[in-house]
Amino acid sequence: MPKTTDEYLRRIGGLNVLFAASSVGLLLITGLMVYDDYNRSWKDYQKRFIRLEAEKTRAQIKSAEETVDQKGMAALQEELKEARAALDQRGRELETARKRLRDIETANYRDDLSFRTIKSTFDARKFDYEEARHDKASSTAAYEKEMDDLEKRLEVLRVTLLEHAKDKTAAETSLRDLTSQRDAAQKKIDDLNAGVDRLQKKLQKVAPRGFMRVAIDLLNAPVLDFVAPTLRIQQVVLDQNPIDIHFTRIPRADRCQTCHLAVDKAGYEDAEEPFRTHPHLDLFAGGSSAHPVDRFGCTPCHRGRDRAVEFNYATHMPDGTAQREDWGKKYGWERDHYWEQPMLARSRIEAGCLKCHQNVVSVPKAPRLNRGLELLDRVGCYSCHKIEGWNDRPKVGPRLNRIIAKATPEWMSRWIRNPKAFRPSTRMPRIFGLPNNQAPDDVDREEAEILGVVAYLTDKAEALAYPRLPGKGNAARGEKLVKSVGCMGCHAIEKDEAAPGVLQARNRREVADPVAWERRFGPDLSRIGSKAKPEWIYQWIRNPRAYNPDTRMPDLRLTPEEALDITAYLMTLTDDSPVAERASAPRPHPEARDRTLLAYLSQREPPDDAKASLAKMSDREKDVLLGEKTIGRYGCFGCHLIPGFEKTPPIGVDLSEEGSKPADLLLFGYAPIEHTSPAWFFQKLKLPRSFDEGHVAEFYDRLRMPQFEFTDEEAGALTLVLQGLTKEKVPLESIRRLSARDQAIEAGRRIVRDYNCHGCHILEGAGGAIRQSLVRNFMAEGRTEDEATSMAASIAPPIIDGEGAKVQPEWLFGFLKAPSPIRPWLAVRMPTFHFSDAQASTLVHHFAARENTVFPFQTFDQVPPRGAALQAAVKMFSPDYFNCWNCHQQGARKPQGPPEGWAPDLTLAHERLNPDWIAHWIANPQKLMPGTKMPTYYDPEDMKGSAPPDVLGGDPKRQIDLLRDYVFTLGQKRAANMGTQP
Amino acid sequence: MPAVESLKHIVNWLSEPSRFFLVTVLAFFAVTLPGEIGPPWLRRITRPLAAVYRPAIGAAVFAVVGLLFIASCFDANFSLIVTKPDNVPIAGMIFLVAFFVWFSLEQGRENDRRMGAGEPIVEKAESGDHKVMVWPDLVYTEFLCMILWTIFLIVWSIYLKAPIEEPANPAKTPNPSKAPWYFLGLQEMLVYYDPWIAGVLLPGLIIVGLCAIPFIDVNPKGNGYYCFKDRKWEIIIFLFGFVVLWVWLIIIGTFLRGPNQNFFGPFERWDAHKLVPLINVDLSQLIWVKGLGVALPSNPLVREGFGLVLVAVYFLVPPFVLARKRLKGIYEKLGPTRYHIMMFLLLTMVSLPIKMLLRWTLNLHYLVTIPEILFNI
Amino acid sequence: MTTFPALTAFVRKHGISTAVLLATALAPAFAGDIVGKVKYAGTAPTPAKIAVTKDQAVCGKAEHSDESLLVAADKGVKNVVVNIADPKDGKKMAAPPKNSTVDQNGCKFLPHVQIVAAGAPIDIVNDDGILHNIHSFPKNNTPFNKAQPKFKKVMTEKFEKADVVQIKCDVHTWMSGWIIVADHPYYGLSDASGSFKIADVPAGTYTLDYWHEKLGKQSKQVTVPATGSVTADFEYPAK
Repeated sequence: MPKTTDEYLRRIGGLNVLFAASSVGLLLITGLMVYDDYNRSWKDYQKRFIRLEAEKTRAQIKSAEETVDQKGMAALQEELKEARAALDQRGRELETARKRLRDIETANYRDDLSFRTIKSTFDARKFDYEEARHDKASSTAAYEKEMDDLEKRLEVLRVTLLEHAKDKTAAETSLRDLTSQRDAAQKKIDDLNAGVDRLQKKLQKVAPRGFMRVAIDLLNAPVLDFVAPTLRIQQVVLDQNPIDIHFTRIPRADRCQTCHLAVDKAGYEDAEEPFRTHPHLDLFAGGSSAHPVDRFGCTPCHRGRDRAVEFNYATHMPDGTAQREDWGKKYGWERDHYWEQPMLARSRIEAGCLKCHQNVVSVPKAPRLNRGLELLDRVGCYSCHKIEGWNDRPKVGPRLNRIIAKATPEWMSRWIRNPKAFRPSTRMPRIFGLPNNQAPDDVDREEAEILGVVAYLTDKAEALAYPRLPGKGNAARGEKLVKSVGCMGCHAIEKDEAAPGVLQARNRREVADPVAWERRFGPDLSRIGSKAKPEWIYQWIRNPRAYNPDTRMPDLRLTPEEALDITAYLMTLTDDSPVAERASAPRPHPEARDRTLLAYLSQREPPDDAKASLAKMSDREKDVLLGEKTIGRYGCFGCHLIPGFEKTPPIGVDLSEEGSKPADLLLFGYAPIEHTSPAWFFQKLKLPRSFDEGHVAEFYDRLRMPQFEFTDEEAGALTLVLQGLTKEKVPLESIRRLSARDQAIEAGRRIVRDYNCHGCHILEGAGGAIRQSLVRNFMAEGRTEDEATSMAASIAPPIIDGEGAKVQPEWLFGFLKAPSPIRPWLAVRMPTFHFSDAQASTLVHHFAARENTVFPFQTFDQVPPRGAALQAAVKMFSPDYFNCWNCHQQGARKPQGPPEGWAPDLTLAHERLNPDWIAHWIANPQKLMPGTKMPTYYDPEDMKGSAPPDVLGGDPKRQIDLLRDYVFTLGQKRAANMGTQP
Repeated sequence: MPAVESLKHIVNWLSEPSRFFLVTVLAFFAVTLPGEIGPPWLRRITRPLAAVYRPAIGAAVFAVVGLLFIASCFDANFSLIVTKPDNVPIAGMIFLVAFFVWFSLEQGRENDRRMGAGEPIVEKAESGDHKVMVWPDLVYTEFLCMILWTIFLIVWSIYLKAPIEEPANPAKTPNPSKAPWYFLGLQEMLVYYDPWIAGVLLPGLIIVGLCAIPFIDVNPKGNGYYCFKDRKWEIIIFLFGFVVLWVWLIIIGTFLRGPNQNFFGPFERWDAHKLVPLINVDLSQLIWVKGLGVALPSNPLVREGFGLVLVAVYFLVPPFVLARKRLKGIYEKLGPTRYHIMMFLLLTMVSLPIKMLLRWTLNLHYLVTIPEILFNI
Repeated sequence: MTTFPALTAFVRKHGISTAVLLATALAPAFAGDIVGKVKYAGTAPTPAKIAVTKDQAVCGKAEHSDESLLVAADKGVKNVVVNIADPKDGKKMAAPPKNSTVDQNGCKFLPHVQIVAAGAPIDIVNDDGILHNIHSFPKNNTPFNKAQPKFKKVMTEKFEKADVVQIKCDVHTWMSGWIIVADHPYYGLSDASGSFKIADVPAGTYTLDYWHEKLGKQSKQVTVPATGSVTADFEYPAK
């Protein structure tokens, strides 16, 4: 029994007020909660896109309406009106026609109904009858009788129905005749409006009006939107491209299209992000492209968090500080550390290609990535770092097991101290004198180490001494040879080719290298005379493989005289660098050497023992030992074959999955850079030792990666590759498997790269670098650049695109194995590469595959022309006509005039060329080889008009075929006699 | 500002665990028993602290501490740690616990004063002699609290998003990887004890002990009203166990344990590369190798003899000695069973801080370690 | 125009550009001429003889000498093309009523250098009756290399864009000629004495380009008076 209110502990009134207030508060807060849950940025994007689409459609409608030819429309409307009027005139007839049709249909329905009713009864009776007959029942007769008269009635009705059908068609035709004119007009109008109507329908779908609009707003309303909202997350689930979340591979669910709504739709190329069409719709995202979005989504290439639908959460990555700030303002962007594969910034997107496009020389449409790949290959990152896919590449540096036959210890020490001081364009990085070894002790130690390395190399190198030169060469002739026979396809003599200013700027890495990339395949020869011994040069150029069995330097089949001349010339190319800039030869530092050795030895044994064993050694032994230790520490054997280190594994870290390494596993030290892996890679490539700065470490614990002096562009490209080397394992289904043809082509490309065919030949639109040198030769003779260029083109090695269609496989194989001159008048020679059979046939197959021609065997049944045909052929060859022998060599018979005007020997054609190609060639040489000296006899615009009118009735087709067959007979035994004429 | 910086340094220096722990313990006793323990001079110093229990001054102290806390939030590192969504409640807990402890003690003292003066205690004065109604006085207010609390929680959940991090990676655990906040005390124990003890035995004993309290505690006083004098030691012991050995450890674990479980001052940057010299030695090694300079005996019992004896002495001697001397009264009041159970639990409780101090001062790893049978103390 | 029926008819026939030309011709009030003489500072080289290595029968008839640098006694340079680099009016060079021709006579291109209108047809005539081939090396136009055997007396080619085109014959490597394709009328070609004239240039200041196949391209400023003519002599430095 409660007490009266005044005895309650608290004032109820107050509590009620508080209760009211708090429950209102709870209501409001719940509202806030619902709103907070409802309010998502992606919804706003979708609304904006709907508006955009509506605008676009309206615009289309407008333009469509404009295109509709109004005059025609008006006319049609007129026509329609007239037709209607005409019809009204005959209203009575129309009415009766319609009535007639209606009556017929009614009657037809009635009779059809009774027919079907009776039919069903009939069938039922039939069943009864059969049963009864089978049971021999008495009722059989009755049934039979009933069936008979049912059948009669059915027959009557069937006939009437047929009658009805006939009348109906008649009535319909008459009606149609009446209305035909009007209907025709109407149809024309509809056709004319079809486009507009379609767009109108689309618009209604995109931006509905009236009731639909309300309905849709309702579906998207808060709380209600759990039913069937039109604003919804768009996702593609990619089980072909799973994402590897730490040992568990789960399908990606790419939701990027929730905001990037038009990424796979054409027509939004200039819309503002996120609504822009993919810039390469033909290649990516597009349904017909190689990477359709429903199979590959977005994140497999772009990376980023697949399920995210919020700007930051999706780990968008800004490209440069400007965009970073802009995003900061626009979206409050900040890096999300909780996703290990952040999106690739726009300029780094090519890194995404690598995980699928592996084991190819170059990735289509990815220039920067390809640059990185060719750099990686040329610089040889794989020699010190294991990289999956680059396992069996040859060492990038020359073998040093015979170095004493080649260079002097003095030069070696200068070179090791700072290679780029002697040859700025060299690939060999700088190992000594870098920032993390600058203390006075370090300087002395490194001097000792350099001498040690030289000591080791000279000590361990195979004793090999070449005989004295057989004679004295002529430097002038040598120079001519070097600059014409083809050396310049892979080598350069940069001091002859570029202004000193340019070269210095290049050395400062301010401008790009003036010499073509392909011509950096071999070392620059500017100072070779100060490096190599003449005896060595002589032997080397005569037969490179004698000195280094696995060299890629080919054999130019030089005669001893030529070799002597070249040697003489090369020896004149001595070090011209100002003495100040030269890396002076290091001085011995016994105490530093002993200190260092002691440090090494003391790691294993007590200092006293170490001291003792040191004391036992001679200076030479100490040097050699220090050299061995130093080589071991810096891993020189990664790039060079060094006696004693044949089996030692390379020293670098495995880079196969470097791109997946989270930044916190990289040691940034005190380097002033952003803490992201790309930034770290870039810094590591530019200043490899900079991470030691501020750290205290014994010399043998310091960073060892040498300095390559990469330009920013190069370092950027390599960073791209590193980012691309991820641990992601892509399932076979989603990797493009190369067809047999593609594989043949790709295999060939590798050889083309490894032997630098591009140095001389233009192939797949690249290469022909040697022309650069030829042009310079001509300009040196005082020609204008244009002249020089055109002249160079006429004496340069041929463009070999289309070789597969041009020559016969057997011939090409033979030629690759042992080249024989085709254009004897050319100074430049196809070198002998000593290809293995496998390599040669790989190359032949490559060309065949590219032209879709047969490999390896082909037969040609050319019918040698006889009689009249033969006469015609000979006539066309004659001076009054095509005068072929004027330029073309005919076996032994050389054409008149200087060699540069000559053309290949036609008597070789039958064993070298493919007849179909001959025909195409005669028809239009410029098409097959732009700039060729072979003149066009048949004007492509006007074949008939330009054909000789009085041969084979002036039919170009027949003439060309005849020429082809004739050429093919030339030089063949049985046709020899016909060939020689006049 | 150099002044502020040096202040921060002092705080960081103080937060080095052994110092911090001593400070905490001293502060604890000084505040709970101002002027009642320790030598006269100490009592003279601590006596004025009683003033804290005057509401005005108490409030002032809270205000000052609160302000210091807010001021500290201007320090990057401090605010970074404190404002982590999952640390915010702990920051709140510091003040809540402090307040309620203070409040209970304040009320208790107030009642003691009143009883001394023969006045009616607070609870009595409030409600007079008649009863308070369940409805509306209790249920209605509880209901209101429910609503208001719901509102607060919703707002919190909206504006303090759950801190979602990267997908869990078994190959790369987060650093530091911490237990849920309410277990940070246990995790802290794991640093000092063998997991078998810290993870199983001690938690078990805590629960057993809590269950045992009503049976051990025979003091009838203090039911239904605040008081201090009547249950001084009960209160002190409980608060020591709860505030110092539980809440304090949670706070340590939350705010001062950084990467690699290293200690970091509240104003110190959590540098994952920070290195702390830490070579732990077992008692056996201390005595045999360092002390006597002989090799470790192979027989585990001999090897660990000292440790075993030490532990045995620790648990067996004090109860009997005290039963005769200081705690004679209590022993008689409780009788042997209750008394020994209580002593055992107390000693176990106190063993934790002792072990911590040994670790911090002597880098002592284990008192007794017999890996042969996975037995470590 | 209706007042000049003849003129209208003419324009119908020869296109608007001629009309413009005529217009200027009718009103020469604000146009002057540029005349001048191009010299060569160096010693006049005696043109080197060229050995005829092929088709002696035809090519051997006439002497062949290097025409790439012809300097008169008074150092006047022949075959220098002088033109305004930056014409102010949009005038186009008119196609001549009769096609300009390149004649291959005695294995020479005649004339050695000539100026033709952009887009105007050029008749390439083969008077030698032996195989020649016209290999053009243009910069802005598409190159061609067409054989002209005996039976093909005349071929007609055209260059659409302004250009400096060298023509060569790969059969007779010494044969070389130049076709200067002009897209505006203000071109002049120096004669044997090195003097040239560009007529009816609207008054104003222009950059004048001097081009010679060997001596290269040089420029200088000229200001053309409203009436009369301005002299723009030029001397190539010795090489």
